[in-house]
Amino acid sequence: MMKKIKDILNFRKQQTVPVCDINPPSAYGSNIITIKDLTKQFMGIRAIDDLSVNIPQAMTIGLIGSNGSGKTTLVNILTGMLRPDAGEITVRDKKRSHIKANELRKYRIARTFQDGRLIEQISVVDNLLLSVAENDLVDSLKEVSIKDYQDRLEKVLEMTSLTEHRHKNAEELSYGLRKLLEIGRVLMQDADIYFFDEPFSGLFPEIVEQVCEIICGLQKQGKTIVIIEHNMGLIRRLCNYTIVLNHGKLLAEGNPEEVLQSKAVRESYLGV
Amino acid sequence: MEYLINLAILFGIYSMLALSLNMLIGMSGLVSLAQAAFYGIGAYATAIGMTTFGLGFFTTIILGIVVNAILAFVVGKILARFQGDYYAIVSAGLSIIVFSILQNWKTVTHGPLGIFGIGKPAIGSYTFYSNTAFLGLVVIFTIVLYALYQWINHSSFGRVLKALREDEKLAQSMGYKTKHFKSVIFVLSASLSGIAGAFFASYIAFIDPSSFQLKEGIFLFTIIIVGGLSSARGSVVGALILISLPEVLRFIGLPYETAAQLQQMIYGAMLLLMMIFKPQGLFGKYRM
Amino acid sequence: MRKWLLVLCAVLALTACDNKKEATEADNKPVVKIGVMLPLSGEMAEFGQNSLYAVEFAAEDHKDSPIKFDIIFEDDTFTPSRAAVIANKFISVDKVDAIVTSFSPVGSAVSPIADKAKVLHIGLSNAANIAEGELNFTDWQELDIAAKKLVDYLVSQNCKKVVSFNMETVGNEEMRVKTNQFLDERGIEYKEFYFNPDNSDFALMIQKALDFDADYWILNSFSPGQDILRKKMIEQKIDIPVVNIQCMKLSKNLQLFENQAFVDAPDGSKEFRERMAKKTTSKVLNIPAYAYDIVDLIMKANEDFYVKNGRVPNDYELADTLKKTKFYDGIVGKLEIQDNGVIKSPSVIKKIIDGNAVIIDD
Repeated sequence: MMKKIKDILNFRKQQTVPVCDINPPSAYGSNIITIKDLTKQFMGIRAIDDLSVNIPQAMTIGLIGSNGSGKTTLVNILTGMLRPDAGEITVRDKKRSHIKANELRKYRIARTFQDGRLIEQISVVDNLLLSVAENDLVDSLKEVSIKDYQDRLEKVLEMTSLTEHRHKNAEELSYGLRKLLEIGRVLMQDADIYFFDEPFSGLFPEIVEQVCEIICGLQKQGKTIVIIEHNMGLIRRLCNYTIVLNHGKLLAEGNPEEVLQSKAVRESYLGV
Repeated sequence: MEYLINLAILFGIYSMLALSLNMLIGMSGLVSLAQAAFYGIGAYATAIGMTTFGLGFFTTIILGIVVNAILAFVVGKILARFQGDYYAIVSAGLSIIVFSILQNWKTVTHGPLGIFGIGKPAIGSYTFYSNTAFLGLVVIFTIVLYALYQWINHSSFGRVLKALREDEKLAQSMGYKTKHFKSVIFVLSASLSGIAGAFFASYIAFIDPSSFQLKEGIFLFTIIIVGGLSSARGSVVGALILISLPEVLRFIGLPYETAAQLQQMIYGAMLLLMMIFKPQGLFGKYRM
Repeated sequence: MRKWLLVLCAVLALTACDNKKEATEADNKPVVKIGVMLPLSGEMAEFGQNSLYAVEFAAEDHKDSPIKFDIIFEDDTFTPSRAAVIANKFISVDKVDAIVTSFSPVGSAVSPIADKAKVLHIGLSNAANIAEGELNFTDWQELDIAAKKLVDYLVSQNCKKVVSFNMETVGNEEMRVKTNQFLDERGIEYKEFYFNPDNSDFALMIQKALDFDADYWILNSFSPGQDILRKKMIEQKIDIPVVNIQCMKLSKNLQLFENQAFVDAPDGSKEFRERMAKKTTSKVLNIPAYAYDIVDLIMKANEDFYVKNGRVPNDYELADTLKKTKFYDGIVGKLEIQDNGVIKSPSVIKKIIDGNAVIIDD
């Protein structure tokens, strides 16, 4: 509870330093992902409960809700990590009951994980290349040179301050660098839709700034970004749309300012 | 000298086996104990091909590769349903089944009596009759396998294998059809161990099922654990140590009545020490 | 790391090239080296270790020979690939004059190597192919002789009809086929049953067997199969005598078979058995007894040649001397050395008396 209140206080302090241009872009209005009547149960508990919600294109969406509200479950379903029990997902006008993990690249979807999922026993560079190298069986056997990705690789390494750690195994990195590596891996992919699952948790302020800058950069390129985050200050600073979940259902959505002021949200999530 | 050449031939054959197994276990994390079965099938393809059908050695290598590839493809589909410890247990089951077939399909394999008089490789009119020439051939094939290992290791294919050994779902989310990758590496590893089997059959000139039991699969696993998982160099060094260590121990002048037991104890103790001080193996790049 | 590997290679190379054992003719006797490989560790170690003692006895018995016999033991771990390497060590490092191996996988791996290097080799095994080539010999052609011995015994007991209960294993299957061959020859009627100790209906099988009214039942099965069958027989008070080849002595429950006969390889002379008893409590004596005889045979052939020619024979001369010996009285009985290199050795009938296997013929 104290943390949530602190978050709100934080948000008031940070309010004055906007970094990103969060005005809705011109493409606003069309939905890149449409979710209809989605349900997912875990041992009888409905983590996602008959949820219908849209992800608007080219927006930066803050996905918020208390612990266990179904945020990560929703992202997991949208990125093929979980299979829903019922419902329909439409990605770029294609309807389907579920998304397969290996189709993400085809749909130009990229994501990070709350717990920092990396391939621990391979190098930083290999972790980055993994998301861009040939994914066809035969072609991947032929591909032994990384020349095609060299430029992008160097750029991403620089953006994520990993240049000097490039040959280290992922498991040797500090917590902050691990988070950056995960973000770097997403940046390597030329995706249209990015999911960031708590990208700022546990980071030092200067790294938070670094990540903010990266997300803003994506925003400027007109990408659709979904961020799961507890820090309301960061949500207000980065997002131009908010979706609030509660017990697997949609509690509210819309402009962050309005949503966060709404009574229902304040009562159920912020506990105020 | 002849002794060292023979030892080197055996070392080469086991290097090939270790390389092919490390592709599977080290690179892709699939702990298979069935390698001895594919090794045996390769050996029997050469033995039967050369003695019964009068085929040339190199033709029987291809025969062994084809039989192994088909079998591995089918078995790989079954194994793909299992993971971790279960994968190892099911693959051990496969090893036992193949051993039983070699033991009981007497019309083809001669059962426990084995097959005798397996010939040497020949190119044109030249036969690799001398052990030195045979060693040359083994070395060439070992180098080819080593190079192939390194090629796969440095290719995007190898990177995907290394990703899926830790987090298959994550690898999938990068767009890889991981099942296909697993299937291909299993088939490749099985086929390559068949080559080692062919050389073994031709070298010993006699094979029986006892050489291809589950314990052989576990011995191969030990080689790559000692040498180091996911390392071509480790595979070769592991084979060198496990093949030559018992031979070195023959010469340390132990009292002969208890020499065998002492040798085994020293051998065991050295492996134990190696694992204590180098748990990742000598050149290991991956821990399970 | 690299340094470590270099050291390993260097040690291996040095030790391999180091021939310090050569020509230790302290008392001016010519030296004959015999390389003996045995399964001294692993699952067959009991056979190997006892054979080692037996070979030591043979060496002891030739202490006063005009020839100094050097015996080099190596552990083949019952693995053909190891055996191949050891054979090459014997040939190129130790420079032995003869090689002795035990069990067919090992003998089969060594036979072509010995043939190529022109070194005399005798394998203790029941695989005739080991004897291929001029210098290869094989001893212990057991199954043929054992099956014949069994049928001879049945004939001697006036047996007209037998029932055989066969467990479905490779070993038992071979015994069944061989036995049937001699039963046919000698005109003994037989009825066969197959079973698996885990899931067969013994009661039904025994009922059907009783209907055949046989004089003997052949329990062609290792334990627990033979034990289960025998227990059922005792329960039902069936007093038909039972026989088999070798299996009986491996039962953990020998009193079940009190007074029943079986065919076995001989365990060597009484004197040999007493000598062995001082070394080990193990009851595995037949293969060691063969090992004794083979090594003794090699030594005697060397000595014979030496007495006649004043020098030790080369490998061809040794092989020739062996073949000319034809018959040899060993501790297992009379061995017949055939021209094709197969050494035929006898089987014996034993009976379980007071829980011990006792030879009843010869």
